[in-house]
Amino acid sequence: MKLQMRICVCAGLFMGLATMASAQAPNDAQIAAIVVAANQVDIDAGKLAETEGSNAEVKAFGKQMVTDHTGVNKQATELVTKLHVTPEDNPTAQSLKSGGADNTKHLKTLKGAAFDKAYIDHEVAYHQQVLDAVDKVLIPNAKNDELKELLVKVRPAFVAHLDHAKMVQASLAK
Amino acid sequence: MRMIRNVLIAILVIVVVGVCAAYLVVRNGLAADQAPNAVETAVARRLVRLSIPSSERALTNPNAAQGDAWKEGEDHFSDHCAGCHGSDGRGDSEFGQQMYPPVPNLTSADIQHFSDGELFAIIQHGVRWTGMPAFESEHTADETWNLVSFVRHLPSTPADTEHHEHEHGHQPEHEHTHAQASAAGRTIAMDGTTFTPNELTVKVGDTVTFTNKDPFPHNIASAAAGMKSGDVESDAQWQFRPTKPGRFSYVCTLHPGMKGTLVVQP
Repeated sequence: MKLQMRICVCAGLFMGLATMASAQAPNDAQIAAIVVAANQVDIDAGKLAETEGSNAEVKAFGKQMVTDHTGVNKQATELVTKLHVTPEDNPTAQSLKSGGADNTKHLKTLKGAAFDKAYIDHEVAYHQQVLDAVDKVLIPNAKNDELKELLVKVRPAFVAHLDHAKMVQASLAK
Repeated sequence: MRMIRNVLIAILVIVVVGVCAAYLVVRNGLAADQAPNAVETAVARRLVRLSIPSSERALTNPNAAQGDAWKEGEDHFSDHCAGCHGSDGRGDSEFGQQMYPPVPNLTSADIQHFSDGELFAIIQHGVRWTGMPAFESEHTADETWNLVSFVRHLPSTPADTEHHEHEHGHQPEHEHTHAQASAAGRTIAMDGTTFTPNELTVKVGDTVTFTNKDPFPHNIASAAAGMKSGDVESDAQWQFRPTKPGRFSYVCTLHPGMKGTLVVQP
């Protein structure tokens, strides 16, 4: 049962990001919606890890994800407000959201070390795939200079999150 | 056999220490106008630390992750502690150096070497035979931890040189412009999860300012350089004053890969 669930979550995630990669080039309003959704998904998972995680490193990582992605979202929201762009919902943003909801639903069925491992494994995969999307879809298609600048500016933080998640993953495996 | 030997040694030590102490009192009286010698200072500090139960010594500062906890401690410090410790914590206050023992320099390595729990215990319970009162009835634990944060922050703040001004009053104007001119050269931005400039050369005693331009917190840490900022929030700053020369690499522990180098010249 649990394994099935995990396969579903991974498949959902993969399909969401595959949609992102194959969909036709998003416009700035759609990119804004994708950025907000991608951050929100990680904030939701982070909140869960803060309360449900059992390992101290996992909890701290979850807390940091909430802080960092909330900060990025705040800046993204300020920028689109300033640019008078209304984020436009699109299939990529939607599949990110539903993939995120599936993930938190799955995590809620787990406890202790099983929760920690499932959460951090997902964080590693998620940051890797979001980074791919940032590089291959979002940055190349962003028309507005400030929107592009924001994506370029926050990208290294996502790389750091990926490295950090891998470190936590390695320490859990010990 | 061994136990009897240990007891004899203990008695001998107590007698020798007692005789030395009595000799010092007879010779020097109990006046406060002499500074304690280095041995007395070292022994007394050691005893203060040993007197703190290990359960308290091991406590860690629950507010350490709050980048601005020290600011709340600072307000309290300037109202209640600065009278003796000086507003800059260097102990160079009106009474500080006339007490016995004199008020220690809180930014010194000796004091910074105390654990968070030890500093907490000293503020809460005071130190017998010194001027340090117990503040546990005045403070909540949270307020005391903010003070611990402030004591940790002190080494990165500039010394208050106001009372020395008359000594070299002929040159402050020149110093002022010099300080302004090079301040820009001692600022490191944390922007795009990168320290910019990535390598900076300064001199011992310079104030280096780290400014966070990212929308989330960073920190600056280097055990070798004695850098430990705690969380520096978005748009906030942290200042550091290097005390020893060397080439130090530092990191943001929140974002692995975010590294910089500070070269400190003598």
